[in-house]
Amino acid sequence: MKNFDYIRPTSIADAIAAAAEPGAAYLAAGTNLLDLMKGGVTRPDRLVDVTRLPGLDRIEWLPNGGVRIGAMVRNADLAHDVDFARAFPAVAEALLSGASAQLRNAATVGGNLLQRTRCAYFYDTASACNKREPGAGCDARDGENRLHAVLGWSEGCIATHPSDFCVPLVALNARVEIEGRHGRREIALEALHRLPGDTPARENALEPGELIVALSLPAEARTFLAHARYLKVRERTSYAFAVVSAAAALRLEDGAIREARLALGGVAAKPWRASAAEEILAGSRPNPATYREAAKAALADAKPSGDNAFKIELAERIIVRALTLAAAGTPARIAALPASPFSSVSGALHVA
Amino acid sequence: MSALGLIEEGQAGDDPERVREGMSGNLCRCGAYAGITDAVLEATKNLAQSDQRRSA
Repeated sequence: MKNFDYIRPTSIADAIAAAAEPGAAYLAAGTNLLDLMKGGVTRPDRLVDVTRLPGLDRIEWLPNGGVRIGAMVRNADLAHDVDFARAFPAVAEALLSGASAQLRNAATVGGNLLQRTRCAYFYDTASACNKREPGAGCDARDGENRLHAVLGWSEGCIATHPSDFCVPLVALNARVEIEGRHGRREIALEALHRLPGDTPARENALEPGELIVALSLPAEARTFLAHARYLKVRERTSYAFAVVSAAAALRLEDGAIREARLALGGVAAKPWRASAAEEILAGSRPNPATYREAAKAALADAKPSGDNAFKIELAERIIVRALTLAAAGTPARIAALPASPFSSVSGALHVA
Repeated sequence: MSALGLIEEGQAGDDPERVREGMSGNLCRCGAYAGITDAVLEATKNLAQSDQRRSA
């Protein structure tokens, strides 16, 4: 592994100054970055450890009813915060469906947003990857690509963003607070991650040295708390990334859908908000025909990037199932297997 | 260690599925084998009983 400088600043201003140098990278829990460094996939000259920065580890309820989550709040602490889980149950369910208990105890909110794709060709330094080395080409195009993107991909990159957490967040209009040399700014989470286009190495809207300091959810995101679910298909029961996932949230009034939120995970280089589907759902009756129409609309622009045509129909089915579950109501307690489409009751039908 | 953390956090209770989920992600895949799941459930029960005795 390459040698690097390690800096542990005690103020946000010092951290930003230290990270402004070329070759610098922020280090939070390191659950992704350290693996990347050990594999020689990323080779920073300087690590700026942000885990000791003051004030970034709080969950604050705002006077307007929203919530502000510091970038260093650990995934497990957020998911098990009783008030947070009650207000945003789909977000808590998504968090608990990700990684393992040990990783959730370490991983941070800010790190989750900025984690890198798990495309095997990005991790294998012997393979061509436009993300790792711009202009090198993409070996995933003719490789093992059954889990790659079906929406928003380009000839240059077909990788997906692996986060579960980001999927309900983007559905609920989460915003990201960013601090840099020129002060603090705020953007929609939806605008944080970029689609690959011709520049797959440019993955997000952050300028060099900018640091995510907090994430916020608006008060209106709580109006979905009675009908909000996250559903995630994995290749094994637990401790796996999504093949396809969906966050569905409904506001039901007088037996009709007043407003709907829908986003997909595992299908694109960013958490994928399905706005066209939301429009179909709003004002409709909550029934399977409506859900199927919404699912078709959500995947209307999808196309396989390799041996992954199955993901398009899988995503449609997951949307229908997530909407059905959301309409049935948020369970009083998160399921034993969070976000799993499979029943934990032995012998139950998994394909009903 | 994972089992102790799981029991202390009290997230799994007496549900074997929650124990298996909480024990998943250990480097060794035997973390959720039937005998281990049963042992975690039994330890949870024993610890709760000895806590009751202490506070009685």
